Amino acid sequence: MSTDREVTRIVRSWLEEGATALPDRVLDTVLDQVPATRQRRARWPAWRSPRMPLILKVAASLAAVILVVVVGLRLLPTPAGVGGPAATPSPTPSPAATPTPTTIGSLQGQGSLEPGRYLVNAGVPGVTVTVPAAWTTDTDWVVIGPRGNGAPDGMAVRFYQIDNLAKNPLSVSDGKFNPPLGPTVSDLVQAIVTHTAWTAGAPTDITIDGHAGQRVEFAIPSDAKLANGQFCLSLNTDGTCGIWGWSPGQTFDWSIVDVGGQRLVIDAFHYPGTSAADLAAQQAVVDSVKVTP
Amino acid sequence: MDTHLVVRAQHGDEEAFASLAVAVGGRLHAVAHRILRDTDLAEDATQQALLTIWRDLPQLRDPARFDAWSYRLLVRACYAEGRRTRAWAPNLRLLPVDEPAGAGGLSTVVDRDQLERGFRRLSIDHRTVVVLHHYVDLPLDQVAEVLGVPIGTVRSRLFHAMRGLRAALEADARPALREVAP
Repeated sequence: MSTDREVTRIVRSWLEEGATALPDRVLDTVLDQVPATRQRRARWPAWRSPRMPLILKVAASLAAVILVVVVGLRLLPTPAGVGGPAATPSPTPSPAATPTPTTIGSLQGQGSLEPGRYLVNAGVPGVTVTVPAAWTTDTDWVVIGPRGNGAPDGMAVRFYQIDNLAKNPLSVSDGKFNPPLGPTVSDLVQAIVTHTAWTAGAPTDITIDGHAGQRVEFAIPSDAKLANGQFCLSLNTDGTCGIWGWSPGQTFDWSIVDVGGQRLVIDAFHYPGTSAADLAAQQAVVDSVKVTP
Repeated sequence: MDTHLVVRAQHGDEEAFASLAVAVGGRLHAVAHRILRDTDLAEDATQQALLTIWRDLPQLRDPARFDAWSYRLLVRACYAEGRRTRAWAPNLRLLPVDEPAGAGGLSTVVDRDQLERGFRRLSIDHRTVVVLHHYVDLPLDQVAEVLGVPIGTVRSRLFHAMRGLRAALEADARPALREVAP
């Protein structure tokens, strides 16, 4: 009988055996294809650590539990209220009366998505969205339309929090927009409206799942000369670009709402070639957002 | 990993990417080889992973996390190869061994053959966890991060995988039959 330690040693030793070098022809094939393979640049930082701070994990867990309880309670038979009609006795209990808690899956870069509701890693806990058929994701905070997220006719919806705008979207090294952003929805909207790098539409008041906010639309100027194909909207703390666009004419339709003092950005972007039907589908995705912090 | 190379490649520098590919290609191929247990599949998976790395590099926010990110792309490529070929258990072909086992290596050919069979019987999920933890030496939390699954799932997969390998080692020590693909 082998001990666990012995088995581990044998397995490790066995794994050390075998090929390690990559044949030159494989490397050559890769490098031959590189010039013809367009980089997916100027999109967004797709790979973040899936690990959340503990407080967010706790909050997300609580939100999920509350959601399950709420769904369960709604599925339970409603007792007759005071003064209401008498409940009709049922000879046999119906199996359908037993609530079945529904687990909501999370976006986690799984590629194709089954239609349904998903939990989004938006920085704000408890954000869920209903994804239609043929939509996809390549990370945990973005859902992508059936025609992809690139020009000329793609679209996507991103979910995040930002605390700054780039001063010059064409030059990340210019740093952040000054004066620094305040914490409220109107602070961000005001900065978008007054920014000289684009022309923004008039903000409108909105409510998403009971959370008040504002909606504002702006676009990358059609004559913008994008360095490295990047139009930076917001910077990371280390000065690199965190949120960006990548095509002149790309339009950002931002719904910004206050969730218990946190500012959630729902960024629905699209292009001049995105069809009216796709825009309607995109709006339906935005309208489906629920926030249960 | 030289993060300057990563940053240059992120900005479309093909020479920087070539250097990067040379630096990481062997490591990725070794991992793919151990997960898939097939030379051709491993080469295809590595090739696909390297091209995906080039294509998606601008999306990597933190260049210092390149290694873990590249493992994630490689594992996806391995899964895709596994699905595409369905070349698991029915296609048993013992891999050539580059070097004889040293003093710390396997004690017998029987051990090696039994491990090979036992490993091939594992699902690709289980194989991947074993390779990332026992070959790449990633701690379990980093394995979970690479795979995008909870650490409890990683622990469970590792437990079942090691139990399967232990059972393979403890099988009757009959003369090992060398199985080959038809």
